[in-house]
Amino acid sequence: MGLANLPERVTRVGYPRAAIVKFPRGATCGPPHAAELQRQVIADALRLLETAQSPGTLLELPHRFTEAA
Amino acid sequence: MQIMDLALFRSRYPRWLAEARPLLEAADLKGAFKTYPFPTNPASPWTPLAKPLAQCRVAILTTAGLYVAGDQPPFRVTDIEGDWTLRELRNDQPLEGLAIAHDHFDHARAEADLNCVYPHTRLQELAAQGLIGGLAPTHFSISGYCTRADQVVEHTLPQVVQRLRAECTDVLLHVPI
Repeated sequence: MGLANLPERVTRVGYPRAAIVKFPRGATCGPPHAAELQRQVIADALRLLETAQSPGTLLELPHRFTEAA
Repeated sequence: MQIMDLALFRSRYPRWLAEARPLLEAADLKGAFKTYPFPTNPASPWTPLAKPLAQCRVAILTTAGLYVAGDQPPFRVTDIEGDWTLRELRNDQPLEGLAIAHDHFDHARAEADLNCVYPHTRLQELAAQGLIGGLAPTHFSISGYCTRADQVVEHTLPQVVQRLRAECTDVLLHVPI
């Protein structure tokens, strides 16, 4: 499965399952040292393994990229 | 299942490389990749989850160009066609011992916290919480900059699959940068 930030690339790859984040290049899992947010993103992505029912399932995650000041 | 049309890619690639070479050598990636013959996989393979997620063993595949400093060679960053070789990262490898060899993304966030691109600590925490069964003995790193998609499909990914099967890993989490 994929956790990715570029929807057009995700479509080309054809993952069985993929979660898509609106995060910048170089920080696909979230901002540095934002452990709770990173954990939520990874957990929400992995839950797709149990919820997706067909190949090519994509899930846009709602998390916002908020960096510590 | 046919994952990628290798013959089609190979029929288009040499012409693209010939035309794109001056742009690549001038580091104009945007211009060079306007005409790149991006492979598009026509279908998604499907393996139903055979057990609860809480019992699954998870491995990471990062494309951030990570390697074990002092132990593994860095990826070739000066080759205009990139590098399609594989680095295996042991699960007990401390993140502090990893370095980045990838010239096409801003390293600042990843250098501040490698979990931005290689969520190893987060997976350990999720395993401790019981969301997943555990981490695999081996994780994988490749360079996201590689124009030879055919080499990745024919040579790099089969090594990953072989290791996943040998280690009875259930889930591969691909984290492109």
